[in-house]
Amino acid sequence: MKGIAVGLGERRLTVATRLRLALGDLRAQPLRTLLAVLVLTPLAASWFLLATIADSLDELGVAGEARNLVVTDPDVFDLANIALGDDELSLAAATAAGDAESVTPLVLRLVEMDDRVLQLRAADPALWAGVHGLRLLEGALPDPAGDDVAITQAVQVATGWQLGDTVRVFGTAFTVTAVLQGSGSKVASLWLPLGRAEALFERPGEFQFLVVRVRADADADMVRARLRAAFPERLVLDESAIQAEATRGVRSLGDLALVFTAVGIVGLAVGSANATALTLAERARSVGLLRVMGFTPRAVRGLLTARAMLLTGAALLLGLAVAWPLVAARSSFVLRSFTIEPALHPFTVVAGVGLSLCSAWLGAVLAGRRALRRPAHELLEA
Amino acid sequence: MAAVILLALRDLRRRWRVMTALGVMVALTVATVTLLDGYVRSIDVRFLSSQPRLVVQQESTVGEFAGSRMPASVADELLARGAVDPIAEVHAVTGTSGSDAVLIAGVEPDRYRELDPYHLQSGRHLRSGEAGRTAIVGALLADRFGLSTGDTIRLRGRDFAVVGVFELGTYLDDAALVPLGDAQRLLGWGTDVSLYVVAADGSLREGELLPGGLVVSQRGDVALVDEWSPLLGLLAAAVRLLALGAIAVLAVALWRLAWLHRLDFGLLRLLGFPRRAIVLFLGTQAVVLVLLAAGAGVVAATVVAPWLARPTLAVTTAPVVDQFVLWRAAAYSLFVLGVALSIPLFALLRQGVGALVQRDD
Repeated sequence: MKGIAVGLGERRLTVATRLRLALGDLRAQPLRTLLAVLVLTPLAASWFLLATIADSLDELGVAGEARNLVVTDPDVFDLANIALGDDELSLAAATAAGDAESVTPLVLRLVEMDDRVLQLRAADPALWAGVHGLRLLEGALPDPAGDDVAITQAVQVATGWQLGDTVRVFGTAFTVTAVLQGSGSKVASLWLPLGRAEALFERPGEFQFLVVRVRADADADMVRARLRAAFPERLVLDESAIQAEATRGVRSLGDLALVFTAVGIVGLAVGSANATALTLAERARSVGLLRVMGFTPRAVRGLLTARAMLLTGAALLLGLAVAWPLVAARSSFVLRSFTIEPALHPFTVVAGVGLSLCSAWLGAVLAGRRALRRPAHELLEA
Repeated sequence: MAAVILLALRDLRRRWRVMTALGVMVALTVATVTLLDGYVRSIDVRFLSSQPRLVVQQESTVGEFAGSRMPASVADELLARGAVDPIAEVHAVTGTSGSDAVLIAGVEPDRYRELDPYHLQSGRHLRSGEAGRTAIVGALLADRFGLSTGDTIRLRGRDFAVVGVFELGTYLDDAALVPLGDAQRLLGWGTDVSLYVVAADGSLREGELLPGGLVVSQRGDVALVDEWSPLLGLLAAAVRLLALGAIAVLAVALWRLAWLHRLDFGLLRLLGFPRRAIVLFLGTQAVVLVLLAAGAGVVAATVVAPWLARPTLAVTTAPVVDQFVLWRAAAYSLFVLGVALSIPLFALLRQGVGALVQRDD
């Protein structure tokens, strides 16, 4: 510990002094320092990747218009078996009365295309902007009389389809005429005019969701309560809750990423403890010298933890530099018709750095405990 | 050379704290790799169990799961096209939330066992013409709802007597199998079915489009692999980095431990011991360490795997830790061992005796 041995005599060290001395020690042996940092770097990068996965899955399903209340069948998982009609539409309109801007049908199916699940939605195109929050980005809205289909940006990202492409949906070839964006842009949906969807499924007047658009100044909770009373056998939820429920299963896979994240933190702690333990094994006499010069075990521990945290901090920086491009290179993708956007958020980085430094501190403390209990003469004889 | 092995083992015991820390590192990585591999394997085993049979289903659906519906008259069209003996099935998902969603399969009681030769864990098979509503449930569904033979399962508001519990190893382990007629009545389908199973005898080809928006697909292939691959790719990248970290930690630690012994190695060399004594010393330590740690990692993964089971839209997603996965874990451990051992050996064997006996602290 050549760096540490200069100008000592203080028994209590400030944090700044500890850091300065630890930095000096690390600089005194650049090769070993570099190796220690390089060893911890993949662990740190792995942690950032896993945290990114957990984070992006956690955000899944945060979609849907907050002012839209949805009435549907309780057996909401098999959409092909849901058949609402005019009776339900009339009852909902009467129940919501003046508190609703509109009460409209929505056809909703899950379709398997290009080896992935997408949603097929159909509503009156006049409502796409006002009720469903869609905005035309490119092209022209589908002609209700033709075999035209609009797609959300999420579908475009997932499939690479372009305007003018032909796609087969339930046995019919449709031409992509529009790309849409909106509050439901996280949902990978194909949009059809209502009448075209009814013709496609040969079920005129039949739909799966009944959408009540609540007025901005109305009490949505009251409207929902009235709808629940009017439809005791049906499911009445706001649209975002439906989406959240639909994605719950996939989001639970984030648990796996969280387990791995915890493993990563333990790995960093163990790696740090290991590095400190090996340093102590190699340089027990240096520690003995420090003790002889007046350093208390607490002061030496402070130096060791500062050293471990500096190493981990450097590894975190490098790990971030490795993980960041890996995450950035992954474009968003669609899973179960919902878009997942892997991104390394500042909060994740700060949390990762904080947790990792804590684990490094813990690892160094645990590794140093035994060595620091030994008397100085024993350390010198080692 | 036995003395060198003994020395290596004694040293291992003397430095048990450092060795434990290293072992934990390797064990964590092996456990993580095994679990991730188990996930990938579960897709292969449970959702890609292709059979030498075809299904005719509605286009744009995964009919063996849900969403496909067609009239029973399709059977006549298939017979006219040369298909022999098409077998009808109904597939749907019922439930009001993710927690109570159940996969239902309506099957012909006299035929379904030849299609899916499952292992009956308890109870009996379905029978034709039973008076009451009966069902046999898959092992995972039984676990999820705590069901056993003799219990009752409620499907779309109707009670079905559970007459058996089966295990097939595919996604059907999450399903309740009921007689075809009961499934049609339950869903209000009349005589409609979800799909027809036909033999792959050349009369129909996979991917063939049929009138009425129908398509011919491989039976048992219900995984949408492309959809999952980006997520699995990210997980794999994270685990690869973790593995790289474990190799680096182990390699550097073995090298540093060996460096602590360089004086001893130098003396051994001076006494006439060959270089392979160093190989044996380090090899013994590395093999014992990695074997024990990898074993602990695999055991941990096997124990943890069932806890990671999550129902995702009526099917349970969980890592499958089977023989295939265990072999891969063993191969991975050997790789870690090989790389981690070769680095310090390379570093040490390059040193001359003079360099080994020189102290630098």
